[in-house]
Amino acid sequence: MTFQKAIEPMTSPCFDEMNGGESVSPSAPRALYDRVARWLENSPPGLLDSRRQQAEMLFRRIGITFAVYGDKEAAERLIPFDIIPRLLGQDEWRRLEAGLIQRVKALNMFLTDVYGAQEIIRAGVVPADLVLRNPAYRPEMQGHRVPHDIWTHIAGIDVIRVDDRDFYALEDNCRTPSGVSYMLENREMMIRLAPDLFADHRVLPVENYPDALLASLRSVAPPHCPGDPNIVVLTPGQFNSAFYEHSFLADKLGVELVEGRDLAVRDDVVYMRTTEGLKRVDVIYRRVDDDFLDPLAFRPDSVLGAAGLMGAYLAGNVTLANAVGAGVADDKAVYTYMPEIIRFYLDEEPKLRNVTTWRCREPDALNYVLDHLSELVVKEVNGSGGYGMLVGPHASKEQIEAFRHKLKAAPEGFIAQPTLSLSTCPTSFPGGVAPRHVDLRPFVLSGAGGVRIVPGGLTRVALKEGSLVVNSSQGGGTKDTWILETDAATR
Amino acid sequence: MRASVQFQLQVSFAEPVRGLNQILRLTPRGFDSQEVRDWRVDVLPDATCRRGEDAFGNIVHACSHDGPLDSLTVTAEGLVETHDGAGVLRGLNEKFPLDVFLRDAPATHADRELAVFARDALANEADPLGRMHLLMGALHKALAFAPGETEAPRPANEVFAARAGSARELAQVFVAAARALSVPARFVSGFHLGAGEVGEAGPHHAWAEAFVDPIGWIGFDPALGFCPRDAHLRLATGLDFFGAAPRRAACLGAAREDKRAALSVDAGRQASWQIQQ
Repeated sequence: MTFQKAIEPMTSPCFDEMNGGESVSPSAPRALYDRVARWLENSPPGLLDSRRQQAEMLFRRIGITFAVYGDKEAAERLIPFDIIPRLLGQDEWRRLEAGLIQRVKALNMFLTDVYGAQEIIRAGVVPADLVLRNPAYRPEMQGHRVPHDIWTHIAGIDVIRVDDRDFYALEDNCRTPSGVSYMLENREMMIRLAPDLFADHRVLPVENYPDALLASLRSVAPPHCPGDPNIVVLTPGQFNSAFYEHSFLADKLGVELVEGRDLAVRDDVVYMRTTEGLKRVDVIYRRVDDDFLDPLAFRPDSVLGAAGLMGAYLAGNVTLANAVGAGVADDKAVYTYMPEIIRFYLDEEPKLRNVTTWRCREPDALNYVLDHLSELVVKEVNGSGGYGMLVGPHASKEQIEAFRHKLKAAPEGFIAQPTLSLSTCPTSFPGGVAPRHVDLRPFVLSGAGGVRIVPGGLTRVALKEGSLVVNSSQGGGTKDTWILETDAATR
Repeated sequence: MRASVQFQLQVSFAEPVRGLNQILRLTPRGFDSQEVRDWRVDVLPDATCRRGEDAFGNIVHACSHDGPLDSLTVTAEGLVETHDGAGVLRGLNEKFPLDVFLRDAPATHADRELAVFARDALANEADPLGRMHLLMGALHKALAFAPGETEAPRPANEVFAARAGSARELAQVFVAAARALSVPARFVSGFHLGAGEVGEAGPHHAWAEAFVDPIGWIGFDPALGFCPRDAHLRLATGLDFFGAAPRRAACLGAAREDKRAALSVDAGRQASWQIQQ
């Protein structure tokens, strides 16, 4: 999940969600934010600092940490939490929600199609090689149907805004999106640290996320599953960067947290080992990547999955959420086709906008990108987490030239986007408050009963001034996201 | 040739294992130059062998054994009649569009060195079939066939750099090289019904198939340097070795496996491949 914003906050105008428009006059906040603005004004100096320290202490005590790959200094680190909430009005949320529902419906239909009749390829809407040669496409799944045709049960759609009207979908995450534990923990933290401010607003609850997730998972149990399905969360183990979240979710869902070695597959049926013997498993909310799920089907050296799991899955005896091969829909090159994908399956205009994207696989686009490298954000099609991208306006000449080389060598591996004027939110720092760029990852649940979104999500904030990347692995922080019962316009 | 074929694999464990899952791709599929009759796959100790078909159309048997297990036997046997079709595959139901067979994967990735070698091997030949023959010839000449069964073959690049490999390793090099030339290619696992003659240690053999427009899929055996003849019994195909492996197994409890495999071929009639040689 990458939050690229390449705006120069000092020179280019960008939409500040508290102060509105291009004016940066703190005396006239948007109506939506007037209580937050007053709270900030009336807070005695030092209060925000002490709250921030308290938050850090509490997070440490809970043990909510995040492992950063490639950082030897800090194997586990806290994701900084910002005490100033990010607000969205009911009207804004409704618009966003409708767009997310539409998008996730289309994503599931796309996956059903590419692993089925492949009509979208035959119609020439999406190029065949983009799907079939995609590393995330799983030939093993071809011809397989999953319960209720749902492939991405939990989708994290990264959204940004550049003004008070439109939302842009920046990236779809259809595999194992993480971060929902922060959405829930941040809310608890806000209620604890700023009870007055919270009481001053009517905030829609996020606490029912685990219930909604459980209902979704139950609804996709194998058709012949008797009665109450046995659900488990499958984690790669405590060395995974999101292990905290895996154990947190299992706990909230009231289901077992298992590792591959806790599972046994016998004759296409999955069991978990318990002190009372083997117990059949019906639904696995897996946070293990496709490659590692089953040494008999995928990487033979994997010890994170269970041998025979894929056989049980293809036999329809267990449901995996998300489905194997769902990643082909969140590929950055497939992303560029999302507007066409939505029109193709739903015959509707996309409600969320796509960021203009140049597909470097197309010669004209490549030429444009090579000519404008210093203005664009260039991403690897199969990269994630903000690794391996070029943010033109912030790159040195050497970095740009090195990237030009990579780009020319394998253009099909890259896409490029303009540097967007991402919106900002007030963010607290030792000794003051300053605007910082934000994005939002709502968590979209799909089940037999349809698509459901808990009002909220994970707001990520780029803490470094002018920084363009908000990924937690790249030093981003988080905020609580308040969806209000009242409209932004009418408050 | 017409032959009664029996393959037997005996696995014994240094210490009994607590359980085992395996999938077997040991059932040949019939096509124009390969007829299959009365084929069966059995395991001992007795277990339910579920027969199915994977996405590539291979016939797969899967079974689970409960422990403790100190040894097991896999048998695959039946009657086959094969004809020398010059490697051309006809009469097979193809499941995938050709793009799938251009996928890049670690096992079959061609680095620059291999890609350049493949390009140079073509020597400006324009005919698609001629090009693949040149590629096979060049690989056969450049890489020493070192018979032996590596459980997990090394990636194509490594084998190419070492200039030697087992049949399955050479087959993966061919697949990588063909794909580097934008020719759809796939891995084939099978038996060589005259295994003793080709010097492969063990009964398994492997080769590759390339899609040659407009003829279709054609087999190329870079280890032997010619296209599959009637001594090649085709078992399964996949994007690389792992997708077509005759057996994949995982057991519960660390165990050193000691494997003995044997293939007995009882040719009912004088085999045509003997005449050719």
